[in-house]
Amino acid sequence: MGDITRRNLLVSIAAAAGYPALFSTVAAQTANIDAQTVTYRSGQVDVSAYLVKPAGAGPHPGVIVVHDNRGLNDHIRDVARRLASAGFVALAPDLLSRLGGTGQARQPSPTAGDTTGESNRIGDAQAIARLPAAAAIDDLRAGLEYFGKQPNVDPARLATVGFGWGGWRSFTLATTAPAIRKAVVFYSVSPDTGFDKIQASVLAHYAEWDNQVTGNALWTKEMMEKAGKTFRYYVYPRTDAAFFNDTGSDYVPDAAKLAWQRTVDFLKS
Amino acid sequence: MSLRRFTVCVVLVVVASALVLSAAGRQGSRRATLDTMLFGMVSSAAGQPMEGVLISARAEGKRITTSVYSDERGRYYFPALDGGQYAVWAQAVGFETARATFELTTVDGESAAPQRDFSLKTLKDFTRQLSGPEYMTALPEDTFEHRRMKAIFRNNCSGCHQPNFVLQNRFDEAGWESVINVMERIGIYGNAPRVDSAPLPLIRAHKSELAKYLAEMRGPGPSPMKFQPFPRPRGEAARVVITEYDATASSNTSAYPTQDGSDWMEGVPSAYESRGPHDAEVDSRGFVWMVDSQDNHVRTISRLDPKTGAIKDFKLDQRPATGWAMGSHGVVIDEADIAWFNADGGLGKMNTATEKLEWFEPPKSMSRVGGTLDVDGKGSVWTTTNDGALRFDPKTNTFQEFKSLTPGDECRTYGIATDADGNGWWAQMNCDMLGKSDIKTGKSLEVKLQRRPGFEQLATPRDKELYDLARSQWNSARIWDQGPRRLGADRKGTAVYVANWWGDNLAKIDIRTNKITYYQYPLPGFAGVYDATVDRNGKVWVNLMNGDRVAQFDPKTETWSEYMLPSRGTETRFIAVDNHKPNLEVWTPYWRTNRIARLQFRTAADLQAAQLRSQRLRAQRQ
Repeated sequence: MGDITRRNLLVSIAAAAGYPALFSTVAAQTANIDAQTVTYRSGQVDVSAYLVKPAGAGPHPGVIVVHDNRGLNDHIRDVARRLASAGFVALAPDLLSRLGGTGQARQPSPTAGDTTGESNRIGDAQAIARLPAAAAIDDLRAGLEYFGKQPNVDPARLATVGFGWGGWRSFTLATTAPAIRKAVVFYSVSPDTGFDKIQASVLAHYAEWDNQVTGNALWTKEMMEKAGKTFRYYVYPRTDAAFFNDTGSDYVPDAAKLAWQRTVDFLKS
Repeated sequence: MSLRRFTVCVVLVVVASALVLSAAGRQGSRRATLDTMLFGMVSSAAGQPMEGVLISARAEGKRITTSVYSDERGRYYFPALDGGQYAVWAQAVGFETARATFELTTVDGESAAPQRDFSLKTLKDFTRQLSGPEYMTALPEDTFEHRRMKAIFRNNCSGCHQPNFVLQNRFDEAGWESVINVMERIGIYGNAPRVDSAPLPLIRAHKSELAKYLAEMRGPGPSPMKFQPFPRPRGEAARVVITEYDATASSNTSAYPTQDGSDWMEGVPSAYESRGPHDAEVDSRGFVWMVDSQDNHVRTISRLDPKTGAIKDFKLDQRPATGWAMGSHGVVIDEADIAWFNADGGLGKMNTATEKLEWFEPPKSMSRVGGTLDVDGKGSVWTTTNDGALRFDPKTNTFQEFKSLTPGDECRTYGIATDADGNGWWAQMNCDMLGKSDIKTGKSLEVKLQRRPGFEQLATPRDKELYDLARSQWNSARIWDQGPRRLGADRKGTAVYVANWWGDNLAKIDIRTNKITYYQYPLPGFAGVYDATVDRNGKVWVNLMNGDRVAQFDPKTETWSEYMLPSRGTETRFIAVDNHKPNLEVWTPYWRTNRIARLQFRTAADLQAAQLRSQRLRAQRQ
């Protein structure tokens, strides 16, 4: 059975179960959503982003999707489409824009003699490790400002969903942006400080075998409670990080389905 | 178990006259001769003979240090040394290091002065001289909270480095918290902490109470710690000859560490000056093959000539070439004198005779080669992987994989050994389990270790909630974990011996029944049983990373013999036995200070012979 066929099958199963395309690829043309690539300004940098809107004028609640260390790829775009099909406007910034964009990142200096520019191409994970943490937060904050001005987005109902590398940024953005009302974190730790500044409720999904990340859940819970904030977390048995990613080898369908249901319920609550 | 019950067993071996005597020529030679012998007496300032004092000698311009201990009458005898200008120093905990320099020539030379006596002055604050177990023993256990915090400190702050490296410092609570802020994220290789990386969860969760505890124990104010130096070596333990070879830094092959732990008054050295030699094995010609676990441009494997101390580097280039050497960690030598080592996820092969290097990569469908290796009785090379183990057949150059039943991402894999039945055993350190192959079926099995008895009682409800979420993570562990680290097998018997790091014990597993017997290391204070290897006589040798010691366990008598290394901060992570020599020799690399030590064992008869010669030399001078 081919991959696409399998996904389509899963879409059908999900729909039959009452979940609007919860854990499979959502094609924009079949889900009654509008997807486009946009650009917004962050300081001196143009940030590319994937913007997906549900049908209807809105205003709709808005969700910023923060990608993992693979950049803005098909999986993250699919997550944005799933959110739109669930009634959210979703914006997925490409936080590698400062380095040329996902799939395009390059070394700062081309190798001597290289006329194609290909020899200094670097992988997205390698590139993303070079991004200063603060730069991505700046770009997300600018994205939030851009997002809040969209006519069909309700600025009082803004949220973030982040995965892995983006999970920390999702949580950290909430410590600096009071407009964020809900934050969802997939297999990622919290920032070290700033809990008292968070206005959002935070939902975290952890993988049992992702020990070094999951093991910090108790400390995060204690810090959030001490600051009087709302934090709920779930640990998914027999899973590793990236269990939600249906394009990866660590995908666990049951856990992904449950995590998505909890995410959507939380964002709609 | 008390120190008094720490039995030192007497091993009867053939008289090792070669340790004391040399066949080199005599008159005028600067090479080791019959008479280039250094001996003397060590006494206290009050004139009392001192037993178990360490005396070390290093020739000017050389990178070799030889050390011996004084006997029950305070007398010491070096083996034959090369002639030359020497620095000699004597040290014992609680006394100032005494130093001397002299010219050592043959006795027929005019300036021969082989006798050097030392008088040691007491030292009021001797804390910097203490070994890790002496510091740990000084941490009080008078209250529940002191016992609990000591257990938490032990299992979170003495895995990457020795406890005396930590406790030789004093900070207030804010200072200790600042240190722990770094420790919760920094890797063992010193990679810079990232603010968005996941901290070690147990350290983070215990951070505040650890900072408070450490400020109580090693803060600016009064401390409840009571320091009591351990008894000095005596008997068999004091007859050992230990030779330490300095390795050049892989980052600068003309540089050596300036603080190498050889003067105990300086405390434990930093690992940041020079570090790297992780594992080492000896070939049949006596050359020592070392692998360097530090990223570098010059060496994947290197060869030490123990006769001269010269080191020759061999490099496998990274693929694609970057200028960096392939990284390694473990090495094993087979019966054909082929050295096998891990290299960048593949298997390196060094023909020690021809110096030809090769590299084999597992198929992409299999896991990558991990950092520890062994060779089974049929010549197959076993390596760990993150998910279990690989078996490599050198005849066909093919790999076979055995996967752990409990996933590697959760449990991790560290040490490996192959037993008398040809099966591989691998340590799943974070899960207190051993993986085991079944070569008949190609499947894997697992053997579970018991929790450290008595430690669950120290866990609070919050600790238990934490431990449900955060399991052990290499060098940060739950207080009841055993931490199986490395292991060795008795190929002539039916046992594998597992070095349980956190348990500080040796677990003997019957390979047929999987019955486990635990032998607690008898020294108090977490010396740290790290690696185990079985010699040709069935005795088990372990290195004690936190204690600057190595020890031998005799399975027949179930007794231990301990030998103290001459330096502080050795941080040994491997032990090897040279089974080729008529008299066994033991080697252990100092990862922290970029050195490697050889232990040779003298009998009482050897020392008597040395005493007779020293008397003759004294008579000749008069």
